[in-house]
Amino acid sequence: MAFDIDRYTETSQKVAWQDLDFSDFRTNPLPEGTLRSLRYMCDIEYHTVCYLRDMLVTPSHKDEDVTAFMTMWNREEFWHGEALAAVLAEHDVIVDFDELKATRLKLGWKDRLDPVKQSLLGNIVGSGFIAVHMVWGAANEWSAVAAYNRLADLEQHPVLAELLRRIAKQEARHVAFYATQARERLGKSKKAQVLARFALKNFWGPVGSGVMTDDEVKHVMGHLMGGAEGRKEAAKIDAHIAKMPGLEGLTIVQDALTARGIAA
Amino acid sequence: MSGEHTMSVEEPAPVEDSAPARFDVRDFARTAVGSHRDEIDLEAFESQPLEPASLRVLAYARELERSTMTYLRNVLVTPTHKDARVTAFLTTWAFEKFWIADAFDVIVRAHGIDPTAGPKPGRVKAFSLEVAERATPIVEAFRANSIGPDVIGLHLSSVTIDEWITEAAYSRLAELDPHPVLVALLERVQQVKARHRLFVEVDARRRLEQSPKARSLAKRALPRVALPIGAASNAASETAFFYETLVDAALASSIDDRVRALPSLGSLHLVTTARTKALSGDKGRQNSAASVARWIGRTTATLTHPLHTDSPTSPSTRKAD
Repeated sequence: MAFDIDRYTETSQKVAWQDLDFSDFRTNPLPEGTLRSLRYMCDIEYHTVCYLRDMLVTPSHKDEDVTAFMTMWNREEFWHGEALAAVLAEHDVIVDFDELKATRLKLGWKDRLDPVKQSLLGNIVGSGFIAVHMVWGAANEWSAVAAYNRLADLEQHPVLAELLRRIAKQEARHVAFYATQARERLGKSKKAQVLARFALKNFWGPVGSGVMTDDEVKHVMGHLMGGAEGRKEAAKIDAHIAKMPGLEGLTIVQDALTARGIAA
Repeated sequence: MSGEHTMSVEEPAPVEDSAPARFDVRDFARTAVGSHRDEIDLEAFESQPLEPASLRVLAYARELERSTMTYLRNVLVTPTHKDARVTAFLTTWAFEKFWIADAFDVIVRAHGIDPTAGPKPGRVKAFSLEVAERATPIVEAFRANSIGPDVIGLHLSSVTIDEWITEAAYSRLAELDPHPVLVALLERVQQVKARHRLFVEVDARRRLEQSPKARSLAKRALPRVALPIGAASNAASETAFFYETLVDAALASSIDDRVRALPSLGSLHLVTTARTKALSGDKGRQNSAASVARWIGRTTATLTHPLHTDSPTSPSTRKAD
């Protein structure tokens, strides 16, 4: 089914939380480990603009539907950051732009050269590379949906759960865009399939790896994807990815857990 | 079009006096202006259509406002993307411009015209664009990363100048074709744009004032920015029509006065030059091959230049951020 970009842009909204009683966090504060995971998610949402950059260096920036989506997606993710920052603020954890800037500065040279590398690569293989970005985006958005829903289930905090479900609902629309684009583009090109398989297998990492420290990545993966239930969620994401043309048998999320020693 | 009606869309006023000490990016994001569709009475155009020339410039303006992702593409590969406050602004800026483009889009379509079906860049220009598009982010990344955060001053200055041009152009459009629905929309658009300037104009000025390196970079690089932003990706005939219809020599010169009032940019005539170049039309197109050659030469020069002059780790590249 085609993704209706006009409907998506018309209904794109910043996630709402003003109607939720955040003062509840003062009487029922979230535990330390959950705040740590929320902080991670909050940072990642704010850093979306860095991913946007990586997407735009390939020919995808010329496609009207893609640019319309990117504009709304980038803004929705920014608002997820704002919403999570508001939850953290109730716990006296303040996330400000200067601090986010410091995290980005720490990325250093690897990050600086990434868009160059991406652009060189992206331009060499041309529009087939857009398919890689789309399936990459889909994998990340599936992970995000799973992570938010899982945290809502784990924590059972009514206010937090409601907010996380709202965010997950928006992420699900992002999945729809990326997955539709990826399926279509992969379906059309054997070369794109080979490239996507290669890129995901060798370079994909959990959302936030490369931006956050390994310790933080491990904490969040362990918190949300650890244990039998967590592994089941990871397997579901892998199953979605493996249904894409040419990506049969890939288990990148479970591989990432194993590589980090997260027990099933 | 006739120009005898009174102007109902205000000329942009300088923002220095009214600007708060520090622009509240979060408040800006919270109060972003989205779709204008509900405010546009499309049926009014059935009995009273816009002038053909208005539709043509609206179709062009649609492309300009819609070009944010291409612009961000070049901006975000530079250290500008590290500044979370600037990227938070640009996120909402792109969102608001998307909906301005959408408003122009629906108005043109209401007249039975597909705004995206207009002239495309000529073959030579398309080729040079292709070359430039493939290489620009690479060159930008190498060059700007070696310059450091001073490049933010350049980016915000170019957005400021672009806002001055489009705001002046939309004021002129409202004068020339004072259709009540168009005028009402342009008034709303000007309000949205005035808020963009509250951030970019103040921040650009501050960054230029604070850093000699940012000033020298802006002075050197601004003449290479195609104005208005987005013009480079559109047909030369449409940019020419935009200047011809909406920005006369006097208006171009008055915008240049504002540019020259920015720190150390006193010698520039950016808008007048952009206008003259656009209006030279055919001659300009014949020179496209030569401009590709010049571009290749310049690119090669800029790729080697930073290696000799700017050390990416030198303290002077960081202090102004």
